[in-house]
Amino acid sequence: MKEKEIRQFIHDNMPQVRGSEAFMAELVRQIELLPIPASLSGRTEEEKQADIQAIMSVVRSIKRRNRLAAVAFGAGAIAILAALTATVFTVPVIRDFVLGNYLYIAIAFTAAVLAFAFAFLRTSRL
Amino acid sequence: MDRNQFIQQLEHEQGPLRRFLCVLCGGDSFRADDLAQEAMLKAYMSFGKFEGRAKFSTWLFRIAYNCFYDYKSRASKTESEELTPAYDRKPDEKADPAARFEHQELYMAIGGLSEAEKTVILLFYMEDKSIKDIEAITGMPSGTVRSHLSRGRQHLKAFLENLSKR
Repeated sequence: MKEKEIRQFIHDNMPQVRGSEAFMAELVRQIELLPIPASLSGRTEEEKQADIQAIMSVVRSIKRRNRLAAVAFGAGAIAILAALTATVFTVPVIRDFVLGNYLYIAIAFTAAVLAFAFAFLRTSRL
Repeated sequence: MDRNQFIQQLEHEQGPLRRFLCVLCGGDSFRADDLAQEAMLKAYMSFGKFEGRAKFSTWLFRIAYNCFYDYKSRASKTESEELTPAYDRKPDEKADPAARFEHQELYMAIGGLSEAEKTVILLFYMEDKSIKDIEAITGMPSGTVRSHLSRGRQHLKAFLENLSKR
């Protein structure tokens, strides 16, 4: 009994597939209900890389903008703090007021900083 | 590749895949079609994982084989539904009388084989897959595929010799 005869026997007796059109129609119907995976979007690798680069450049510009904003806020805060400290130590009336109410001033200052931070987060958009 | 090209590939592969699953399911073509559909939808959703190292057909057969394997595991864990006495052992009257015993010789020939031997034999002789493709589809090492093939071949030779003596 040769290899060829076994193959022939199986090919002669294998079932014939029927209803291919109906099967494919149902399969296509189900596929159309599903979202198109990114791998089957038909976009070339170069197009995908170009999209990635565009997103990366937007991310870099946002990071740069945030870094500049942080530096500007820091510099402004230092300047205001220095001016306030100078005012407190040079004007006796203000110094007495600050020393007498430092607890309330600290609470008000914290509340103002938090309010400013929340307001800034709410207004920042990509 | 876009969705339409993918569907064209599936159209090209659906015949052999459904036939392979049909024989693995012992001739239950409805079950085979369900498994083939499940495998093709899985392939569609996970096409990003197809690295192109194997042929598309081999990758699809591997998914289908895993679906069949999962189905067998599930079926062995859950108890099958009992037939009422009226339907028990009663042939399907609606079926074409000629179709009831179709391909009976093939099922008899591979009936005595284990699941793994049957899979290897069907892939090698019926679907004309190479040993390397069978390794990729079943996940078996080369030596195991060869030994299953050898045992299956001996079994088929004996069956065909008996058949020719009759």
